[in-house]
Formats: sequence, C-alpha cells, structure tokens
Amino acid sequence: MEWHAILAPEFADELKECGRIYMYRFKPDYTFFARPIDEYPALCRQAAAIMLMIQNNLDPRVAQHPEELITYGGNGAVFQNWAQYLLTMQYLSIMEEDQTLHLYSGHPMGLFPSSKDAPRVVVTNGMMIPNHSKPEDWEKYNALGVTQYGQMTAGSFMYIGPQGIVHGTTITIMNAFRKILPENETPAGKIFLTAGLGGMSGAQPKAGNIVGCITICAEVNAQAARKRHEQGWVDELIENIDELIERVKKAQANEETVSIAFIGNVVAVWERMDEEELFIHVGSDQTSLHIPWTGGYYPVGLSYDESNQMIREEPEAFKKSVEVSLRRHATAINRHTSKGTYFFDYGNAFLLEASRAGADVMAQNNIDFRYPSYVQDILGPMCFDYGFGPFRWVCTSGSSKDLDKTDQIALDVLTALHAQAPEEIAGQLADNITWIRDAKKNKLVVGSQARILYADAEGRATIAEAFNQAIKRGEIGSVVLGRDHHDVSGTDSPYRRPPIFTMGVVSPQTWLSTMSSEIALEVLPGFLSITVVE
Amino acid sequence: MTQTTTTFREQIKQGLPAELPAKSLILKEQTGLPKGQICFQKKKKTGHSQCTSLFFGGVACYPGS
Repeated sequence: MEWHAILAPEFADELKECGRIYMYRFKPDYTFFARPIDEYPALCRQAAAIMLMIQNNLDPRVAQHPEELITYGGNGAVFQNWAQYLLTMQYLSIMEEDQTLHLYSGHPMGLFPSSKDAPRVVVTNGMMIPNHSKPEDWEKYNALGVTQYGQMTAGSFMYIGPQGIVHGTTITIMNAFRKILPENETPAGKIFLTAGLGGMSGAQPKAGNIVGCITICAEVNAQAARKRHEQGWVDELIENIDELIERVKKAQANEETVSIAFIGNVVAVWERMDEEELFIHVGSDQTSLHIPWTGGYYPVGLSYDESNQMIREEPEAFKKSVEVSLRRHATAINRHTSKGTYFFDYGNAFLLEASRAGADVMAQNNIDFRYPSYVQDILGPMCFDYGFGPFRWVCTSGSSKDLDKTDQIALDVLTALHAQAPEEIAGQLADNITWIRDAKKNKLVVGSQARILYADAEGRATIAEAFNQAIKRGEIGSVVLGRDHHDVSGTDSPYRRPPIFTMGVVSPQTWLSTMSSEIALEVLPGFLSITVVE
Repeated sequence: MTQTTTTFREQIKQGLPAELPAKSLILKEQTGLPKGQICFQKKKKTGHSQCTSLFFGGVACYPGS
C-alpha cells in the first residue's frame, strides 16, 4: 500500500508512454546470461534448469528488447513485467520435486502440489482465438495485462538464439533450391531474396551461406542489421540500392557464396531487380506480419523513424500505408514469379495480411493463396511426413566442451542410423549429419551452450539415451532437452503453419509420431517442453 | 562462489525487493521497441467474439442460466 501512491502514476505513465506496463523499476541490477546450473538457488535440478533457460531468454546478446522482456519476433514475451519475473524466479527457488508452478501469460499463479513425474512448470500464453477476435482485441488485452504473446519459444523459455531457426531455415532454402534446380546444378551464384534480420529472420543469411547461394536480406531497422553483422550472421551491409545491384551482379558473375544485408525496404529491392532483369531463383519474406500495425512491417516509401513516429501519432494512416505497401509488395513478387521465381510464404502471415490488404495473392478458386507455405511445399512433404522435426539441447554446465561432446554423440548416433536407413529418409539423415558435423565451424552459439537438430523418434530416443550414458560416465553435465516451434505438432496455425492433412500427402499419424518420441524421452506433454537429462 | 553470484542468488530468493528500488532510467534508454497502441479508449459494442476473448483471457466467465 505504501508504494501505491508512487507506483500507480508511474505505471500509468508507462502505459501511456509505452502502451504496456513493464514495471521497469523492478528490473534487477544483475547481469542476465545463462549461468551454469549450479549457480542458481534451487531445491531441485529441474527448477534450476528452467531458471537457466529464463536467464538466457533475457540475455541482451540473445533478446531483441531485453528491457521489455521481449526475446524475439517483436512481441515474443518471456514475462509481461519485471514483477512477474521476480516472483517466478522466487517460486522456482523454493520449488520442490513434487510441486508444479503454473504460469498464465507470465503471471505466476503459484506452486501446486503434484508429483515427481508431473511437469515442473506448466505455461499458457496468448489465450486468444484468432477467428473470434481481432488484432485490436489482442492489443487491448495485452495492454491490460490479461494476456501476452509468448511467440513459440520466448514465453516457454526455450529460445536458444537465432541458431534455433538456422537449421530449419537451411533445410528450407536447401530444399527450395532442390525443388527448382536440375540435379546437376548447385545454388552457387543464384539469388535468394527475403526480408527481416530480427531474432528469427536473422537466421536467413547464415542459412543462405550454408546452402551456398547469394542471399539478399532487406531490413529497415539499421540497428538490427548492424547487430547481425557484428555477430557474424550476415557478411556485408549495403545501404544504397545502386550499390546493392552492382554487388549482386558481381557475386553472380563470380558465383560467390555471400549474404548481404540491405538496409532498406524489401519492396524496393523486388521492384528494382525486376527493372534490372535480375532473376531471383528463390524468394520469401520474414517480416513480422503477425503484428503489421505496430512495427512488424514497415511500408515502402517511409523511413524507419518516420514509420515509428506514424505508429505513435497516426496509427490509422500507418495502417493504410502498410496496406498500400503490401499490395505493391505482392505485385512486384508476382512479376518475378511470372518469370519463374519460386516464392513461398515463410509462416509470417505475409499472404494472409497481403490478402487482407487486397493484394493479388489469391488462387483462382479465391480460397487458397496462389503461393504455398514452406510447411505445405517443403518441410511437410520432405521432413514432417517422415516424422522428422527439430529438437534442441542445452548443456547446463555452460561449457563449450560439453557442447562439443554432445555434438559428437549426436553425430555418431546419426551416422549409425544412416547406415541402416531406408532410402526415403537417407537424404534427410545425410543433411542432418552435415549440419551437426559443421555446427561448431558455423559458429552458431549465441548465449547458452545450445544445439538444434532435426531427428525422428528413433534418432531422438537414441541420442537421449547416449546423452544419459555420457552423463552417467561423468563425461558431460546435465542437459536440457526441449522442443522447437517447428517441431511436428509444435505449432499448427491455419494461416501460418498449416499441417495440410491431404490424403496421401500427410497423415495425422506422421504428425503424431514425433510427439510419441517426446513421450519416449520422458518429456511430458505440453506445447513446448523442457526435460533435464540427469 | 563469487560476490556477484552470491548477490544474484540472494536477489532471486528475495523475490520482490523489501524496499522500493530507485526509479529506473530505462525509459530514456529504450531499445527502440515500437510503442503499442492503446485502444480501450474507443467505445465498442461487445459482441460474441469479445466475450469469447474475455472468457479465454480469464477476465469473464458465463455462469449459465
């Protein structure tokens, strides 16, 4: 009560100024990073592991907006405010092995009696139904503190930096090129054009380099582009479109593997490359179109600062600008696809929002989109149908040597499985073997000592068992195993990641098979789950 | 155990601080997060969708008849 008179107007100011109440005053003064598991004040190992994952999600090297507890995707929140963070950490510090902490959109609801075999933490986020609510409803209830958007791995504490998405993006781009190129051609000297250098989209240039193509990734936020460049996730920064065109022509001539961040609007790049008759082999988009009106998508013709000012001062006019830009964006893409470019929706709601803006993106039946989603066209038929999906692990000792050892364990397991694998999955296993073999060389770690890998049920269970044996032998410390948003059954959205249960293409059984593998690993059912191998 | 680790552990166990911490200067140093729009000033009719949203948001419940 004594704080009320001070905090009430302060929080009101935050709401007015920022649109949310973050309770900045309660942010602790210690440094956020994934400390080794023994450094947390916990009564059980699982609680300490969850604390480690939370610290990693708020590490300023990892998180997009750490002060606002946003890990990635513009609004992927770990908690809604710092008081929730403090209380959750305190609960975790006193939690015992027969208790479960329930979190509701960041609110810690309390420790409940359960059992050793029950989940230690149950998290729900974003309890809104898209088909029965509007983005404005969502904004309102988020501002009221009723709900938060946890994204896929922010609110579930499983984010491991951009690496988490690199593997999936690599597989997607690699297979996109495989779809369109003759067998004897490689992606060398061929163009992949896309947008976004945020928490997830920032994986695109790195993945493009692994695939071996020319990646052009437009980003309007110069700060985000520079951050990715400094972190080594993109090779070159270019601000001038003439310079960009010249650089791309040179890269084509030399068949270079290079990733270029263009600080500017992707619509301008699509249009200019059409004028220049530069052929784009593969095109996509990873702007944050799940929040088109609040900074997820910046309209062409306005600078980043002009847009941000407009969001604050003229939200309706900004919305119209976004719609105009989306129509122009789609028109430019259509010109390229009429010349043979392969374009796919990257699960960012580009086609959904473009269609809502009246852009020409619908198929002739006016029900489907004219372009496929990456799940529908690439990951579904090539990976998910066979029960392959991404999972991840974190070495809780914080030692890179532990990560090296787990990489080797996973490589040995996959190599043994590959030797016996049926033809349909042998290629996929070979891609995954290449991935894990080169993972250290590709310098993927940002934050915790973590690794992502695709595997099917057999692969995961065998790797987990091998980790257990290594821990028993004292070769490595405890390992956190978790799921990825891309995982089979991880995210199903009618607009963003549709499962497309078409008879003969994908069966529900194949989608469920990876869930079964999670249960085999003693990961308890949940949206994204964490287990600690001891 | 270092002093930093001890402080970290103590602060976690403390939960909310016993005394009101100093006002943060973070507001002035914001990282560029776009400011959200507040729309509850607008008067709207409550429809089925809003009711459903509120229900799932844990704000409202329908007690039946």
